[in-house]
Amino acid sequence: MDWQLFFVTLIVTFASATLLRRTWRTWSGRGSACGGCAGSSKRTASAQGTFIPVEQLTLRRRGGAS
Amino acid sequence: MDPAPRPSVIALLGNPNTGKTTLFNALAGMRQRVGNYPGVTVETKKGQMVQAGRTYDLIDLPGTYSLAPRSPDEMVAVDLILGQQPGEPRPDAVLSIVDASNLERNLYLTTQALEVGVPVVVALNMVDVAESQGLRVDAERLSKQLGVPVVPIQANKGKGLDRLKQVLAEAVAASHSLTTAPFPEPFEREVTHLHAHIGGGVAPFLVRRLLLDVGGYTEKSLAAFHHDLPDDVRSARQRLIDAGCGVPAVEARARYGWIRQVTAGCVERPKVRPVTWTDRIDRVLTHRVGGTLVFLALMFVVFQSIFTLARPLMKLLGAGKDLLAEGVRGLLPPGPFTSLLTDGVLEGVGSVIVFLPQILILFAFIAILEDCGYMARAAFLMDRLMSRCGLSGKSFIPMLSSVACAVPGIMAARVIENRRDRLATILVSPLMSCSARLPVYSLLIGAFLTDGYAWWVKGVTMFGMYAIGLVLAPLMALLLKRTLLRGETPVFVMEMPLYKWPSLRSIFGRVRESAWAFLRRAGTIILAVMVVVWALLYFPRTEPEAQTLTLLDPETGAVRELRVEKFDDHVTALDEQVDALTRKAKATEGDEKERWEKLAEETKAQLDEVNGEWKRQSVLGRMGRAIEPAVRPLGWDWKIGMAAIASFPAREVIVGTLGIIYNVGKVDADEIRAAENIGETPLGKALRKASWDDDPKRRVFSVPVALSLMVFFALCCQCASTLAVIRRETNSWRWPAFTFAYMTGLAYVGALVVYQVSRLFV
Repeated sequence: MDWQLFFVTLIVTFASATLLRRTWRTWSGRGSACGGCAGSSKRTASAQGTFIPVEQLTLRRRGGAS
Repeated sequence: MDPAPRPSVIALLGNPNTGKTTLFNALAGMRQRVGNYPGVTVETKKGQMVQAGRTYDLIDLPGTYSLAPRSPDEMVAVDLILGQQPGEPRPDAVLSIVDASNLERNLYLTTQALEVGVPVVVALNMVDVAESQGLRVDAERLSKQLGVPVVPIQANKGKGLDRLKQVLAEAVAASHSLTTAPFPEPFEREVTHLHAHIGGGVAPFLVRRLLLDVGGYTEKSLAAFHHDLPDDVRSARQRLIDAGCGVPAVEARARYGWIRQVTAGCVERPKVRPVTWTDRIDRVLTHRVGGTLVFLALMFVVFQSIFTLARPLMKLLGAGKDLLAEGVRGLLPPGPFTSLLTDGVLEGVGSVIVFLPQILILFAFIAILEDCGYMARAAFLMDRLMSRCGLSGKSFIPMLSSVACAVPGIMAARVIENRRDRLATILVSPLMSCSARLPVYSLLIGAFLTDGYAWWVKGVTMFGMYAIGLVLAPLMALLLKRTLLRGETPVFVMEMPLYKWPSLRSIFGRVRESAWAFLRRAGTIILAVMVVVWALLYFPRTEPEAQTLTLLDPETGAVRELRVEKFDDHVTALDEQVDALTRKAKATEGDEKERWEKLAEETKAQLDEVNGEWKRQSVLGRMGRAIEPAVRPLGWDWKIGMAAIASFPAREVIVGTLGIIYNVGKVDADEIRAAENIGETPLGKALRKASWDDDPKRRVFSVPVALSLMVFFALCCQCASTLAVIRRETNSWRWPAFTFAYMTGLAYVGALVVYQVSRLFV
């Protein structure tokens, strides 16, 4: 086996093992999620709007307070 | 020697958009860090404040309207305040941040904090905003009537903070009895009865919540330990209804009644509420027609900018990638390792990295729109559509988050209490176009909708791709809500934050995070997939029979014969012959030029034939030809089909896979540099030249094929992370399988219809 083929075999084996490991970790819930989610989790949700439970406002509507 | 006493802990509590985080930053300065709690995605910031030589630990709790634990955010806040969060001590004081311009509703949360039994200090923030609306709050009088210290502050300008720190230190040191909102006597009787039944281990505050929050977190968590509890709670609630104080209405009535009493005489209001800038802007931006037009215009500007602003950087990255590949080819002899580096790693990963500037521009726009308060208005506009589809406005937040990435979008659906609504939202959120689809759209739009098309076509087509998800997601939700997930939808009231100038720090932070995440992804999963795809396309390496090639030296006219025994030698010899003939053609004029060009083309065809035969015999080629009959109706050849399948781990992998399969490195670099349309990438150029294996004169890609591929990617669920998070959130394999099946079916039908219809016109 020439040196080029030797290194290729090593790299392809390592890449396949990495993919298998990542797949397993993702499905078992231990791996990190999609990289595209950077900085777009809780902060995004709160910045896009917030919701008040309607029962908290019931009295305001009926009584006209504030 | 005694260990040093732990610093006192102060928890910051407040409604969203009250300046809580601004106040936290002002108090803690640089002494802060971000923390997460196991099992939930709720982030809390921790920091330290120094007052009179003493250090105090600060915890910035998630913004919430109520301490009624309905969602993980509220549960974390309640657990922290009660000292039930593992590893966290019970706070020594609560700093309740109140928006002075919206005093009564903000005090609702404060009245709940008072019941926890920890000293409370009220920070009356945004007094300047209140004054601009003609509101004056007498903080001293409010403090007397409320029974806790009230300190007026302007957190964004640092005003009143010294006094606030001093009052906080005093509150921690002193223990005083707290006044709480009085509830009707039958309610208190039921609380005492339930508390005795459950046992002393549960905090009295949680017993009140148990009775008040129908179907809430407390009820679910306590029911796990006390099996007869649900019946007891149901009976207690029925007795309360009979006594005229049914839950949950009794809480709002008791709290607002008390708030009216304690604020009486403390707030001076104008007779007519002045119209603010936010009101004026909202008249346009939340208008049914005007607001929608502004929304569409803004989206067009965003998508058009993605193409125009990113050009110079994309060009630079593309040139850098080509230069690196040329350098590697010059340094190493031909062989599998050289091919892996140049055709696999550099072409594959490089083709994806070229789109980094566009991703950054998209995230910068999202950050600006969020930070200035516009996204809440966009959510408001879409809320009308959502409610018609049987979902509450809460569902739009996860869907809008999914424009960046479906994973946090699906996790954001946790705030939806109703199980059917939450499930419907989770199942349709992946239909929203995420940032991983951007390189696919960008590549194909850049390559096929440029020459002969108006300048705005690219932006409009990109918007169209995003609009597909925006339109189909609510329709799919409607279908689900009318079939599998039938049920009523609770009503929510949405609060609009005030408009403000976006913070540069926040925008740069967001862009930096997304750049890092994209590069990390390119350097890990995309790199690994590219290596595997390259190997599947390169092997098995069956060496052809030895051949004798007749080669011509265009400079001297000398003809020589070369015996080639290996495939690599065959390809290298033909490649060099094409280069030499092309160089000669460029250096000559007239008939001679034509002759050399013809020779170069013939040799190139010979090279393509050798390469094509090798790819067809490879593992990927054999798999591809097996699935080709299924993708032919979409206008795809086996290479596109295999690239689409290979992108299952992550959508943007298709760009790199197409780069490897169509062998970008073989495209003439001069031709690429000369391309007038800089938005077109080298890969785009290669795709335009790609031809069918069984008909070399027929191009594979055309506008209908590009549209079909884009529509397929707009609708398919080629993202392992998304399916994994659906499984986690639904705790079932059924729903991710359902999502994958329905989205793949939708994508196939969508791509088929688009291809077959568009080829009639284009």
